[in-house]
Amino acid sequence: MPSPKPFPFTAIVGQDDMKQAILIAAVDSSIGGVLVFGDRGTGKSTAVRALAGLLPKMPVVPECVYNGDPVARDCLCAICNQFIKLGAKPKQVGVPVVDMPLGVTEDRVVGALDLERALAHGEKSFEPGLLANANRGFLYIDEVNLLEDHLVDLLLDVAASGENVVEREGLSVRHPARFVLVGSGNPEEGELRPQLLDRFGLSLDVRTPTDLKQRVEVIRRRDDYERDPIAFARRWARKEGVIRRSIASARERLDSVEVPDEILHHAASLCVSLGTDGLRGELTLMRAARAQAALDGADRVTIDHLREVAPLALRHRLRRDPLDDADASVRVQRAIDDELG
Amino acid sequence: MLAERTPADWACRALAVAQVCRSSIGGIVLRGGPGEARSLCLQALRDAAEPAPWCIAPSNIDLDRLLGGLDLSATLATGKPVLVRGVLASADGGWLQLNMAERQAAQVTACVAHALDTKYIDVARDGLQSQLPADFAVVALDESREDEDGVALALRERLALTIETDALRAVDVVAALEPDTGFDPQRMAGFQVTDEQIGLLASSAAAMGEHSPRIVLALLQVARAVAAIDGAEQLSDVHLAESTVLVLAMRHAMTLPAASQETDDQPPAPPPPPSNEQDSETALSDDNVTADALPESIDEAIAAQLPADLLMRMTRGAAQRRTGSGASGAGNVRETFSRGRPLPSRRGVPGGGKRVDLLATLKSAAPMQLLRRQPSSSRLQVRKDDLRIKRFREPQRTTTLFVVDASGSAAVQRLAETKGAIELLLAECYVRRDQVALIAFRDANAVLELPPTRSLVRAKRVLADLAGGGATPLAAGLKLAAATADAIQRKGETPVIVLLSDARANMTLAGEADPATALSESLAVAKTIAESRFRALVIDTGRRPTSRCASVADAMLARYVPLPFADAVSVSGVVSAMVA
Repeated sequence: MPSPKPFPFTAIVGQDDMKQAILIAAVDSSIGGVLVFGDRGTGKSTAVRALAGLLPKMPVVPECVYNGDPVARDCLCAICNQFIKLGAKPKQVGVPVVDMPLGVTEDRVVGALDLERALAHGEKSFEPGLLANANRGFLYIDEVNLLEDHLVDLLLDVAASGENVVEREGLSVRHPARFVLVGSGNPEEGELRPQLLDRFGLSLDVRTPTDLKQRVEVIRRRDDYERDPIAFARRWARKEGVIRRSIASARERLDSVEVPDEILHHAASLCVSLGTDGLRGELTLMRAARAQAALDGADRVTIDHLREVAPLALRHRLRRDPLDDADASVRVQRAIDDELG
Repeated sequence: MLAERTPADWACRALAVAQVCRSSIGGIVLRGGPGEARSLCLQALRDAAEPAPWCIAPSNIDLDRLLGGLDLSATLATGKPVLVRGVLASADGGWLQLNMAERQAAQVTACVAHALDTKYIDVARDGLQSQLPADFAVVALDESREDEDGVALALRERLALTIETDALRAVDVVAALEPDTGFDPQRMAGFQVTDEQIGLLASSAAAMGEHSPRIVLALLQVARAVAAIDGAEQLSDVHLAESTVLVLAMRHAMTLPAASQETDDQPPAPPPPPSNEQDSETALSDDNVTADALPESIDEAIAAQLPADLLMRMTRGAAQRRTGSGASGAGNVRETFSRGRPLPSRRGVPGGGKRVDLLATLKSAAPMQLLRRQPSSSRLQVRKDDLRIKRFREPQRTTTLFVVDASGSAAVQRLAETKGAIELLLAECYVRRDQVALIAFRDANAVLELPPTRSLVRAKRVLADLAGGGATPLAAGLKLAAATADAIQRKGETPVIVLLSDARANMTLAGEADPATALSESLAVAKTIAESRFRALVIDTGRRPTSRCASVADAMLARYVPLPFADAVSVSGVVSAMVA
């Protein structure tokens, strides 16, 4: 069974890019997922699992299997309708972080006929799948490159539309499924198809820390954690609290952060100079910069925010250029230096 | 003291540590073919594991058996969905034996690796969902030959220990097996460790090219186990040294040197290979100093275990991995509905070449039988939603892309030989249903003379018209090769680039005669070919093999074959060995 205390997010040594990307996605879930590719043993899954302990609690409609939102009221299930009519007290629960198990079959992802109930009572009812559990939370896929293509397609579709539509076994169900998709993988085990690649909002490569001091610190903390997870978590509780509060306040302030036209102009020219296809790059860039500004406590997006998030938002959208052997991040950085000065 | 141990002593030590640590160090790899020594090692582990479960995953295990799923007969009998436990969940608290681990599918190794990390598995299959404990250690039997990729890296990294069973004699193992020392597992966690000690372990791991923190954690755990087995009061450098041998040296040494020779003939142990050479690819600056900082006991312990040509083997291993050959080359297969290795079936309607998977269809219909039963008939009720279709993965077709130097320096005669080789290959390709394409470069540019084709007649006509002479625009040729290979890959085929040249580049991409720039441009383009992970082969057609050509091959991560007297038959022989 999963250990009672996940490894604290703030105790992860280094890997600032990864932490930044996950925080941005936590603040604005419309950014559309994070893809983390890289070396083994760099704390990819640790970071995502650490999220569960980090995120502020959220109000849900009690008993609603889709984690219905009592404020937005976008869930149309019977329990939510009842709730809206009668007006009961919402429940505070932790933000769900759902692990997509390897070898999962499609029926368990989207949901299917509830066999137990069908057999016991002869009722045709819907048993929600992982997408329902992940609503308003995170869906984590380890080894995303090993997942079957049709499942990845399906997930990205749902992630983009925020709604899961099920038409199978005589059932017709739709329910909200707004979640942040976090995929991780190892390039040595196979590439991700380019079509899937650019549907992720942010992407980054993680490397094993090379600095000896850092490596010692990684081992030291991991070892301490494994020997006594509860005491370890207690030691990091204060730092976790600080980040939790900054996420909560960033989420509140997100809508009031101003994005000046000048910034949009810069974002567009950056995308043009990099030759990214479509408008998705610009949109993600703008949203990520806004979320970063909100995290920093700023009132308006500045060019520095843009500079900070541009590699995360754009590096997986570049066309492969046979004459430019530079790493994608380096190419983005070069374009940033050229365009933003 | 440590240097006096024989390989059999070390093997038995590793077995003892594996028994003690079990899942906390992931497990152990037994490398080598079937044999008495391997059986002995396995038996020793099995005996020690009693009465904990010992489960075996055969090389062709599928996800249904690995993770578990719907039990068809029980479900039909009870009319209720019944979950059957997979091998991973059954191994909880004990051991999982992975047979022919080097051939296990990526999906399988990923599941095992995930369970090793989390100690549980999530089953979400066939309408069932549950979370089952799966805290097991792995014995991976790796029968790969020296030139093959071994166990998948994701799994390799999580299994701390390795024993080369081919290098052991059964009688030595029997003699060296350590009796079970009554030992308290509580002691192990009690050992305090200093930052310097962790630093030592981290830097020795880095010096062996192991950069993952998992390896360092395993080193630490093994050191604790060794100290506990020896009944020591605290963790000392001797334990660390022993741990480095058990985890690092035994992992990399493909054959352990006979200990007697080492100690008798060379009293001063040779220094360990300097780390900066091994790390040239990853360029780890701060590791250069750390190898010197190792205390002598570690130094000696490792040195005594290292075969002399280790460095070469390691770099060769790295190159092999980078080119993505072998079982990990996930990009070189594609999904079909007709033939190849079976994949899990999925929902769909048969027809159009898709065949129904009867067993899977029955499985999906089974739980519904009670519900669908009609009073008038006792037949099995199968609905359209239940239908499952078979899927397979099939190796992709290969397109061999020749990049031919038709310049003056490559001499007209060479061109004729190349033409001959291509014709020979074409005949072979026809049998394998592979394709051939040809790019020629001369004067100022490169031209795709022969787009991917299987037509012998067409190829012969193009080859007959191919003229030679002029400058050598190598960069332009490689650039076009990269673009063409990319296009071939997009069509779902696997390109193999074969460059035939003497690499005397003297024409830049801009069309200026400047040998220095031309060569550096060529190297830059060659690197992009390596980055795209195309398989490549460079045949040096120069009169004398030059380092220039080798460096181009190096940049492409290509195999380099100097063929000073290339004739059609030998060229085609080298290429078909590469493609097949």
